[in-house]
Amino acid sequence: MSEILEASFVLLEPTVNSKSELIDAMVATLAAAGRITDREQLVKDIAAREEIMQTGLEGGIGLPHARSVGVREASVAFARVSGGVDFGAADGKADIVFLIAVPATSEADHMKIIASLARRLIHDSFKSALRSASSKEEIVEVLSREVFNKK
Amino acid sequence: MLVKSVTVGSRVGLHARPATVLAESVQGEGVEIEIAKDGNDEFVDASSILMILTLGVSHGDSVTIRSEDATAEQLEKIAKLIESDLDAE
Repeated sequence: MSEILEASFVLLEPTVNSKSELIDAMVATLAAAGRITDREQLVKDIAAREEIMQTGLEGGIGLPHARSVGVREASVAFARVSGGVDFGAADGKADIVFLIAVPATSEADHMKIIASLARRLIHDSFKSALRSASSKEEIVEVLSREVFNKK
Repeated sequence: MLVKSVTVGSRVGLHARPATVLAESVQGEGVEIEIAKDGNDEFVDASSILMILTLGVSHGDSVTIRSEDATAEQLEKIAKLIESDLDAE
């Protein structure tokens, strides 16, 4: 099985002007790696979720996500946007964004990914490691060690 | 201390919209309410979406809520919310 997160799914300071532009850019990284079968469908499913309720969390986090028939394999894309993008959190914009895309059939994976991310995101040291990382590889290293491929 | 055990009614479990609705409702009550997944006695602040997400609660799981300063009515209100399908559109 492939890794849930690869360096090519990481965007550092992309030039985006809105939440939907950011989501498009993040989904594009997954599409380029063949992780999704229907890019439009995934974007639509994520947007539908955001419309029901935005996914901003306290502390500068955005967590757009969807279970979608457009997804081949559970994947997580990451973006750091220092200027911040509004995900509707009460305490302001998000500068750390995780986009979680899982196949429509894997509800358990979905929960597991979100819960394990949340358990790390409550620690400031984890967030500051993501904020200070200087390369995509460093981001992957932090996330692999702390969240996704913990042995 | 008031304590109450409830079964999660939301089909998707307590994340996304249900977690947000729950956290906002607890904030709205203006009292401190904590929540834990049964079998794991780590109570977290139920007014924080992020803390609720850390529990990884699925549909049908039992959770316990507790509070030092909520009234029985307030706790009941939150319990009802958890039991309902908050993700129904």
